[in-house]
Amino acid sequence: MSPIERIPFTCTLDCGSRCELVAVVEDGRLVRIDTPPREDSPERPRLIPCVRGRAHRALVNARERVGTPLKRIGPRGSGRFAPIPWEEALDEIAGRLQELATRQAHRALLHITGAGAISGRGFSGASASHRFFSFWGPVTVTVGNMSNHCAGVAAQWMLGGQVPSSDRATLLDARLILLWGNNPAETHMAPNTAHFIAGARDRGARVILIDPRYTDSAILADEWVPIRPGTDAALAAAMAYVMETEGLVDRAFLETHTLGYAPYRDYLLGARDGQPKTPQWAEAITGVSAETTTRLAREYATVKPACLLPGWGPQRTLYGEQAARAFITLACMSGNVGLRGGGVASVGMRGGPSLAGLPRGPWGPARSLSAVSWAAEVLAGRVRPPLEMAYIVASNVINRTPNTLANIAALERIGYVVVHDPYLTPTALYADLVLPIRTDLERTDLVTSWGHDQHLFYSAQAISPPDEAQTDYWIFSRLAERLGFGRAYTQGRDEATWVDALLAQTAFDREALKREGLLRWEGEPRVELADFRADPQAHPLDTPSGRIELANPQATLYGLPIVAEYVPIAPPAGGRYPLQLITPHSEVRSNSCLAANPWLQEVEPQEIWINRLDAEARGISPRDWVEVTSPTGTVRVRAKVTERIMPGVVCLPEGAWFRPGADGVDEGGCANVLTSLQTTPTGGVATHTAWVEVKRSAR
Amino acid sequence: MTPHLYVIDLGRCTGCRTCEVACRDRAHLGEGLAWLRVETTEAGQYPHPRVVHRVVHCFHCAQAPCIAACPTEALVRDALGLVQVVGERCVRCGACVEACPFGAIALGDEGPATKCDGCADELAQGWEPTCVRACPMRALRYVEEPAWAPPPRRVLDESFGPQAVGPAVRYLKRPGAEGG
Repeated sequence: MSPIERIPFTCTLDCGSRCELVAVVEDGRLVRIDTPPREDSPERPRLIPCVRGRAHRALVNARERVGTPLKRIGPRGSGRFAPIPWEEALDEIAGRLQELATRQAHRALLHITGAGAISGRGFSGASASHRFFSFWGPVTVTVGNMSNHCAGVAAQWMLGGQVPSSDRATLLDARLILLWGNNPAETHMAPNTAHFIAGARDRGARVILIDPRYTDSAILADEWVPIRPGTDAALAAAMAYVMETEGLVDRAFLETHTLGYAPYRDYLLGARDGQPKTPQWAEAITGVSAETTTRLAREYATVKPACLLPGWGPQRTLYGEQAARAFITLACMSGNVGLRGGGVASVGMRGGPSLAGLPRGPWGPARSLSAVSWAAEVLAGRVRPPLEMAYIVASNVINRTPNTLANIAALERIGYVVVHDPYLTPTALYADLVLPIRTDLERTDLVTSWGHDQHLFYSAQAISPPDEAQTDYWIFSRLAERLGFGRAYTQGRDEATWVDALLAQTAFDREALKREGLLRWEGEPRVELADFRADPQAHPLDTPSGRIELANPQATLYGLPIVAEYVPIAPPAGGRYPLQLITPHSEVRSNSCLAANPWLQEVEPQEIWINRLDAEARGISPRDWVEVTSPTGTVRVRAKVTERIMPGVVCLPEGAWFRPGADGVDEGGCANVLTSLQTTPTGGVATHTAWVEVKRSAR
Repeated sequence: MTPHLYVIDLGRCTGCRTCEVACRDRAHLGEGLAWLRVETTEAGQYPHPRVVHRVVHCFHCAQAPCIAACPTEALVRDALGLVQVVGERCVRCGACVEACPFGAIALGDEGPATKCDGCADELAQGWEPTCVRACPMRALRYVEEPAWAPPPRRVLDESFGPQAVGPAVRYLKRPGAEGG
């Protein structure tokens, strides 16, 4: 019998977790994925991978896998490619780059990176490509945060920046948890979050889910409060109104630790607009009954410790800043800030361990475009001088960015497009050259916790790649050689020696890390802002006052109210799009990664959720094919007719791959076909603000 | 060996199907076959939907109907007390599939009847079965039966399958919560 090896690795998806996996390899062949049989305790639980990590075996050899460099031989998007040798591909790219460099036209190159296939802090993906272009010249890049931009803005204005959040283990101490637009059972945003919430409930905590959808996280909750998308700041205001008028506000905390409550109080009481923000006022906006809102307010204000744990969905709306600001405001009014089991209801990330990525060379970018709305800039002809080449690394940009069709149109304006990816993604279909990349199982890298823990992973290469797939570092090393800065780029190092060089800058035990695959951070669970709560003078925040600032003059520069007022969103005129669309993360994908995994698509086929009442009104039966149309495009997909979503709201999880049918209608279920390039006042993504109509389809 | 129980907590199972995929990954079965499935039932009306996810696999029953039904003694009890298929004895008659009250035995287009082997090889190493180790919610447990009692804030859910055949499973639910 041939020896069986168990090789520790970690899944490098940009999912919100980082987990321990084992590749079981026999004769160089991956036979299964497993987990290490480690101890598991309530306070120090194992980092158990979710269904996404467990399905790796079906992904490595997925039908869409790219094995050799591919050169386009048909029209863009046609999927007609011919395999070419690496030398030819590298020579072609180097020639293009040299031609731009000769004209000093570096800025005509748009460098787009994402987290596809590669997330973490090693030398793969963006780490390798940013280093390359920092030696080559000043290019154009896209910048912006597609995940939690508005929460970050609120943190900047109110807390002086992101504060390291409590460790999720402290949820065990909460007596009330408000999961507000938060779906940890499916997103796995921070390892074991759902496990800790279940644990808190088993210790007697009450858990309330506030969400337009009865998600799988509803199993963790005692109560589901459905709410209309984009109205979170109104519910928060009405809760705040109850707290204010019933004397439930923690005035001592507001007085010693915050500044600027008075204008919010004026807003609540209607001092300026004559409209008190009563639960009855909110009911017409949020769809949450006045009775429920009142009860929620009393409960959150009186049960201690209570943790308002917002997800990032509410702030991915057109005025997402207001939702994010309202959560922090409410947390301050309740007095739960700085308590173990409480929280400030901000971004909610702790930050990973300190590990430098590959160092950068002399050049920074010449200019930057918004990662959310770059396509609008290109299509409007506002990018001058125009872009001539796009270099896309680890990013399925047309799929993951709002308004897929506009992204395609923008990409088609760019003369030459290179894509690095393990898979022939919808974006790769629009490339002139696709370079095959190794997956996490096929390369060695250092990977940090995603952003909530302080662990460091050594993810060892477990199997050989299919055909000729290579790492991003390998490719850029060879391009750098051709362009005359090979030595500067590599410093004579291969990937293994880079691992050691990066590790040498840390205090981690190199040998133990390589043996175990993981070094866990050990220590008492951190409690967010505990020191600030204990002594705000000694531990001031980075705000002008050192306190939490509930009124933010900066907001008015963007046309936003000075406090966390609800700003209404007007539906499109004409009534053609009566249903609100939300496009949350799916439990079977990490954004658009894993859409090519057949096992996972069987676990949760792509469907649009529609309430039975909305379906009946449109003659739609369960599993019917329907066409979902927004002002930006149409998707043909099956209907999930369910009681688990609010009437008037439909849900198409994001990340399924764009696949246009013969009539141009997307049959892959790509949610961003339906979303718009409109951004929030501060430039955030607003993908949960969309309106559609749904009708039965002939298919 | 001490008799064991699969303890499956409906109050923790979020229906993520990690166990299903982990089992599939280990078992290497033919197309459409599975040893473990998650049955999801949705009931109730908005705004009070009721959702139950129930993990089902062979529960290695004490009075296993499949063993009794098999005409060729292709189903046997092994030294660990697990019910196993002896592939070469199977004549593909389907009697075991019919007899199993849990729908836990599958018969594909070819090959013998197939079902959960209890991860006998993993138990032999002192590990818990794959599905139990795979569960991010710790909704699945594999415990010694004599010492086991329902934990606080849980009651037994006996709404699923006949108890008379002695399935080595205990479903738990929160008091007042929906069963199957």
